[in-house]
Amino acid sequence: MSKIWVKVGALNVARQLCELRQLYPHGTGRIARNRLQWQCALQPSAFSRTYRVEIKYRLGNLPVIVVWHPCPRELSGGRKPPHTYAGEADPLCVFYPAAQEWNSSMPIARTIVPWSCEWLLHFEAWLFTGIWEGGGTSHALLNETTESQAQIINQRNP
Amino acid sequence: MNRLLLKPEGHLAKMQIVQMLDAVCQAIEPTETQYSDATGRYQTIGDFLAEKGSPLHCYGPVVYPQGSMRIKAAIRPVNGKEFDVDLVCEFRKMPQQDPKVVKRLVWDRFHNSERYRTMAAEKNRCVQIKYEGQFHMDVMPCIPGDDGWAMVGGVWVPDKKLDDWKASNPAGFARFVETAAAKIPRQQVLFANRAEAKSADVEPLEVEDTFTKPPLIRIIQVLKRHRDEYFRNNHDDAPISVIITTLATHSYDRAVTHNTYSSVYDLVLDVVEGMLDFVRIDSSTTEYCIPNPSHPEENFAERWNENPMLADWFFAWRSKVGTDLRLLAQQEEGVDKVGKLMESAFGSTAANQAVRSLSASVRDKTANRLVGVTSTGLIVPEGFGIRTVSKNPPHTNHGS
Repeated sequence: MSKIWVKVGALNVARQLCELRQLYPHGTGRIARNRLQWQCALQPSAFSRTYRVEIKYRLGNLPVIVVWHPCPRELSGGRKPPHTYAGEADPLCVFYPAAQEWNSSMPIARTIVPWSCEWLLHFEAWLFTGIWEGGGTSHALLNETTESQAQIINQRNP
Repeated sequence: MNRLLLKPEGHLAKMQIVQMLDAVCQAIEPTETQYSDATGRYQTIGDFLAEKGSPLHCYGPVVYPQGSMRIKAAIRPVNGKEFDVDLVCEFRKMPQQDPKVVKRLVWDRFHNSERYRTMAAEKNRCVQIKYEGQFHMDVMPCIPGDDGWAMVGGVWVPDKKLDDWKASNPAGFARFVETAAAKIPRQQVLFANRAEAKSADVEPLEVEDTFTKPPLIRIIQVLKRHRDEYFRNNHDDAPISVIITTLATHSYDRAVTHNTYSSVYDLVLDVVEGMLDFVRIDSSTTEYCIPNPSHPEENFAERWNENPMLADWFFAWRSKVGTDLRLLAQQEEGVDKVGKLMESAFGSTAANQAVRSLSASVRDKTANRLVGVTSTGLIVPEGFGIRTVSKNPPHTNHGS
């Protein structure tokens, strides 16, 4: 279980950062002690705000996505935005870990970033309608997944 | 075709506004089921008036729809759920020349019926049959117009207030709208360089870029809904639907005949702007004139000349709807802010549907691998002419 995220062919953090820089040249990132930290301004639609999004990633863990500014929780008047994990600044849940939609061989730039853009668009729509139209599963319906999710989040590098 | 639009991001925003306006209309118009229910009901009414044994049988009554139900531009009123269904009951063989008698024949037929008595009410030019919670069916009796005039659908309608016949042409008016609505707008393709521009051709707008119904019908619905919201508290000052429909149809017809557009949204703005050109002012009397295109002696703006405030209200509203539509595509403060604008323009239910449709369309396209993102995170449909850096792979948002 704890090894599923480090596949044969896993991309190391340097490769991940390299691709992020190539695809999103105005983003900024660094690697410190094997930990990737990358920030970028993203605007998911012509109508949308421009959000400062941060992605933190260490090989063997899941990428953690946080929206720093404008802060979703402030925009929603204190309501917890849908499809976020518990934790500081409501990290986004943009894929379903149990379905193995993401693994360490996949470039963050071509998965996590586009998915985060979608999240932002669905979030803005949710602010107005109160209904999440982005699709997805619910923690409430999948308790066992929540636990495995926590395990994965907490696991250390092999 | 390898083409690049010069301002692709702006073009995308315009396409999405059109998509949202389409959702607004879908939220407020009768469903296909309601249309077919209404059709069933009016056919039953037609049979009831014409059946053997009916005192009207010998007058050859024919019932057919008119107005927004006929051109499929009907919308729900802002307060309530009942749609207006306007029907014509034309007596093809009517020896009677007295308008009161003709009107009474229809009234008596309904009033003497167990089934319709409690549903029927007499109005100035029609008998209204109420289907609680569903529709009002306004049955307007009439007889064929004079020779020649009748050839193009002209009829005489009993008018209670005038105590006389009033000329009308409901079928001709519907044809006027339907003919214009059938004209397909032409797309102006913007090219990145001269070589491409040289080989440029005019072609119909892509399906993706346009409404799910003829653009003219959608424009009429958008305008009528905006009018209903704008005049929510002073309904009597609102321009009547036939004025909006006439002006929008003239303007659309001119727009698609003479111009090409880089987006359906630009067409919508141009049509709304151009409506003003079809309000005429008679040079000798300085009176407002909006002739009925299917019966030019009739002036739809007659009431404006009796009460010029109505004209002022029309111009104020027309200006507001133009501004509101323009502002929609200029929003950069959030999809939720677009929703707020739509809410004040078209009401909360319609605005909700519009915003949900934008979100749902991105979800569905992702599931089918049909979107990508640009280097600034802009989500773009495949083949839109905007350079993307990555496709969006299908995925499942997780978490509560």
